[in-house]
Amino acid sequence: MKKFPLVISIALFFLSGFVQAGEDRASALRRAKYLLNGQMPTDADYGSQAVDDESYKAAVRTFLSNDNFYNSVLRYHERIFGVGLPENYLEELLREDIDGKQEKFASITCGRFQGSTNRFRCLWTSNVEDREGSGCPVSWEQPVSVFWYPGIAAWACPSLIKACGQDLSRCFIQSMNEDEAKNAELGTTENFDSRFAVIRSLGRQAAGLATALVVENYPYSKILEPGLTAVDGAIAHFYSQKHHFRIDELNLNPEVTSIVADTAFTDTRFRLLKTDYDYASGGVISTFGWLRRYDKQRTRANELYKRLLCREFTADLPRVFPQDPGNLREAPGCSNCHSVLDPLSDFFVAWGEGASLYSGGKSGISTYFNGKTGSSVAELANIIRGDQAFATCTVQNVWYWLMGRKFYTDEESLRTALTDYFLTTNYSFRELVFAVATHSSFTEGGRSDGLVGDPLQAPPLGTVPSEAPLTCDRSFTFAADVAPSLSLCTSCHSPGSTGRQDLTTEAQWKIWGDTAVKMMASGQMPPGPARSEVQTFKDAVRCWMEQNP
Amino acid sequence: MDQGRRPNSSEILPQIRIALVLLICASLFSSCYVFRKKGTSNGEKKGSSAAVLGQSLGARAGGLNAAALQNVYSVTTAHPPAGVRPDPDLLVRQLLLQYREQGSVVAREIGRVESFRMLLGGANENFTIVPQETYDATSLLAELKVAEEVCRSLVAPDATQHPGWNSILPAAASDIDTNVRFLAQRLLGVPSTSIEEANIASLKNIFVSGQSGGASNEDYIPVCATLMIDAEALLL
Repeated sequence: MKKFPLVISIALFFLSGFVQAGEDRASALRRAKYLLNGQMPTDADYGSQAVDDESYKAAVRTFLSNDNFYNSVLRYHERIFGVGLPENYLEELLREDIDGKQEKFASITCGRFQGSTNRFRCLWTSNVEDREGSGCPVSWEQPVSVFWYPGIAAWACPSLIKACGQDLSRCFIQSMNEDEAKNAELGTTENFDSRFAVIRSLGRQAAGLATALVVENYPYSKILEPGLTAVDGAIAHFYSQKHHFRIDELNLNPEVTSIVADTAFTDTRFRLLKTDYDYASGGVISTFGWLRRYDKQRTRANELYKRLLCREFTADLPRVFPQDPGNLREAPGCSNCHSVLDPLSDFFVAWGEGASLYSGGKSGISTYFNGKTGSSVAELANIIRGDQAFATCTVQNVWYWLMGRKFYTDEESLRTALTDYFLTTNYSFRELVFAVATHSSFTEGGRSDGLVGDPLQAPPLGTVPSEAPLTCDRSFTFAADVAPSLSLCTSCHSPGSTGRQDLTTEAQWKIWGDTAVKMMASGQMPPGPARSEVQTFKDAVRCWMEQNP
Repeated sequence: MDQGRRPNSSEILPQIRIALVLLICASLFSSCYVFRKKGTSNGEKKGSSAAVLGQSLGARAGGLNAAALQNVYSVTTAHPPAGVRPDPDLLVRQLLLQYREQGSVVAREIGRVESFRMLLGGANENFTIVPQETYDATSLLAELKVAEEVCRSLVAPDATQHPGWNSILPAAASDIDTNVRFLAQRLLGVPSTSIEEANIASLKNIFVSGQSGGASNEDYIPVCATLMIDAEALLL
């Protein structure tokens, strides 16, 4: 191939005047078609789809029903949710010495080994033995692509597909059919390991769930639907193989594994999967990728707050940060955020933290967010999607995707109008996209800087929960109001417990009551997540002490 | 007509024939429909036709509400949209799929440039590095390499690397004007009438500078690559 001078390239890099401002619908058509379908319009498109408003709107409508819309929306959601598993997790899963994963996986590395021949060769590594294939057994066969996950593609000879069926996993993931495939060529863009395909799909499962809802035009609020998840072939394979990654300990609804059994590994598009109400499930916030990427409970809460409600916790740290700030919900400089963040994060206790994800499933919490109480991820999901800030945040995100900038402060009425329309259509994401892409702000031919100097503030959230003033409007006694709940403390604070105060008697509560109330109010005691019965008990102790000084 | 009379065989046979013909037609049409539905339009395989596995998800969201939409249209703004950069992670894939059927050749082509994705400002696999929203001059060489590779597959595919592919150029290699105008329109996506003659002339100059002997499809690779790395022109 001839190389052309770089200098000329750079000089012509600055070819100017290609994009002409002023032809509003033409500019809008180009932008809409590329953003929604990933293609540039042709001259013929301009001749038929940019002649007037009606033809332009009709064109946008076709973009929304085009097959390529799926890919554009999937990409949008990957950015919005930021999902994907951390690299150290990839490494962890690729270790051969844990979880017994090596038992059923095969890896295939293809390339032009040892340079002399031009034939593409593949090395198989499985738990059974190493195999080497070299070309299609029938010389005229052209390899065909069998699946293509973003970033990875695999192709095989037709004879291999004939032998194994479209679901190639039956050949190269399970060992029983490898004999049939040993003479066939199966290649990839670089190397293929079935674990990579599974991990990539798990990483984008949340995006796939939201995308499938959009493409099928279900209400967008269902991205937080309890009992709803999404599977493609790789995830279905993952769920079906109980020995993978300790999947049997993953607290999965057993209905899921029974439903996905027939999904082919080659299905690369996500499909929705709805099961019974599941207390530990809340749509995207309980997908494996979300929970594993954001593997601390506070991180999950923070990312939810940011990505689904478009709000930020802003640190207000004291000038000298104490080495041990104590309870963050009360510590100066911390409490503004943590009084909201920590109860919110308690909702995720049901899934466990970090590696405990596999053995989650704890229940019995009682916590609150935005003035509403709940005890499960499902209830949290319902709280979030019931708040108008969720709809407004979705409008902001779609606006940024299509307009390339945030709202200006003086565009609040437009954001409100779009939010109202979104709600009027029962959370139709497609209609929201249509509304923005056909609005005069989008069809405007000019282009501005992406930086917005005075951005519109985040959508208002409901009142941040605050503690209601205590009213001791009846008579409180130790026997009737305090003693019945002493077990909250006495499992540790009993006579003879080393270094702990005895809290089993009324006399001891007279001594330690004030301290105990403070400890309970701050969440330091009893250890574990916040629980409503602790707050009730604390209030009872306070009233008893006020009335019996 | 006697309501109680049973039809004889001469009356029934024509009805059976008609029913059989209708049955065969229905079968054929439905087969064709199924076949079309299984086809791929963008190269990705489709899943099952079942939208929701398991239990029902309930009612779908609403459709166009013209009256309510008018309320949105009535609220205007003085601020124009910002220029949007084509997603660097998808640019090559989307460009190829406009002209090529997905298959092993497309897969290999993407494999050849995949390693440059990060250099082009794309996200990494797990999005811990988010895509750039502006072009980075330091990635120019990477862009040039990718552009050359992809342009070769589009305008001058060879039988070894791209079996079964033909050039996308609409005219013979000697028809420089037609081919350059075609490339400019298709790669930039603007109407041909909006492309200035001076820019067409500049592109033709690149073609001449790269030419050796008679015109060939390969001589269009620099033209194509120049268009692909023109960051300003690609802004949406």
